[in-house]
Amino acid sequence: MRRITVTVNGVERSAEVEPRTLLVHFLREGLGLTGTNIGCDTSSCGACTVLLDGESVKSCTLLAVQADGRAVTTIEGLAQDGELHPVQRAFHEQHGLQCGYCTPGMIMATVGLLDELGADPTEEQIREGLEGNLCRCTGYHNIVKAVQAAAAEVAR
Amino acid sequence: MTTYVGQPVARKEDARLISGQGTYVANYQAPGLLHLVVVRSPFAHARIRSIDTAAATAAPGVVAVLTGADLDGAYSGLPCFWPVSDDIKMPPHLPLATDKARHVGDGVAIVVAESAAAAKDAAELVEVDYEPLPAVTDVVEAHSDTAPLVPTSRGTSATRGRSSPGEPDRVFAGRRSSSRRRTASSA
Repeated sequence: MRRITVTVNGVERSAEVEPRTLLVHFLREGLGLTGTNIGCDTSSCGACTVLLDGESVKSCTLLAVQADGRAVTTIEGLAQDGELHPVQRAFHEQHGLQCGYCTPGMIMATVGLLDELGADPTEEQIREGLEGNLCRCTGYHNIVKAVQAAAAEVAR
Repeated sequence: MTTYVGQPVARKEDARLISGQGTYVANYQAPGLLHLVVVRSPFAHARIRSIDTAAATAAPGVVAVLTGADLDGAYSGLPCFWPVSDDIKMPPHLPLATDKARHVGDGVAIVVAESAAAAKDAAELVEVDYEPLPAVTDVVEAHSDTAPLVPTSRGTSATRGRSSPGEPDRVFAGRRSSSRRRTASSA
């Protein structure tokens, strides 16, 4: 067992973990943060995307010990003071989800992506940037619209 | 009605889904919750010579390891085909394979443990001795007289359903032209 300390959604959390524990299992089972979904276990689908020091990562592809001493943001930590993050709001307003299973990962990947791309990303940049996140309901059209709607607001 | 017809309607169910509060089965927690992993056949068709569950049963956190033999008589079988005709043949489909595995992924044992990780670890300790048998991988091949038989209690592998509403023979007899096609589907 290894002791790790990770700042999760702004709160420092310490725990004993097996060295093989994946970050996503630490978040879901260790901390009870089940908003981060597991879709494929193979780094293909992006449902488990979180931010690690502000950069989007697939939490099924990292070991919990790799997050030691770093900051993780999950979907539960995105809203501030009860106010939805602009990306969360845009997904709702643009109908960028149906069943919602890919949505936490899709939103976290979008937050990371907009940080890179700024206020006016092209459709091509958005589609390429979210290539690692699979949605089996909506066909991406409204997801792209949601990202575009959020982009301007995030940049402000 | 005019409030809704022809108007985009905002979804009502989004609040929980965009904030990580969606309720999925894997999120469910309860005191004493157990986890189950199915040990599955890597072969499309194989005789199960033996299953050794001793090491898995003794593994940490394991509550039970069950095979098809343990479930014998407990279930009469699951219906697995739409009964489209009176003469359709429905082979028995048990929750776990007993004598033979009949498709890749056919369940041959289950491991129940106190955590998902413990169940997965123990599932790898279940030793199944398989004797691979010829497999049918094509629906047309399955209809041939020489195809290997899968459900051994039946005379043929084919679970054949034929539905012909109306009078197809009469209609086709009066056709101007016809074409014959073979289609394939991935699912």
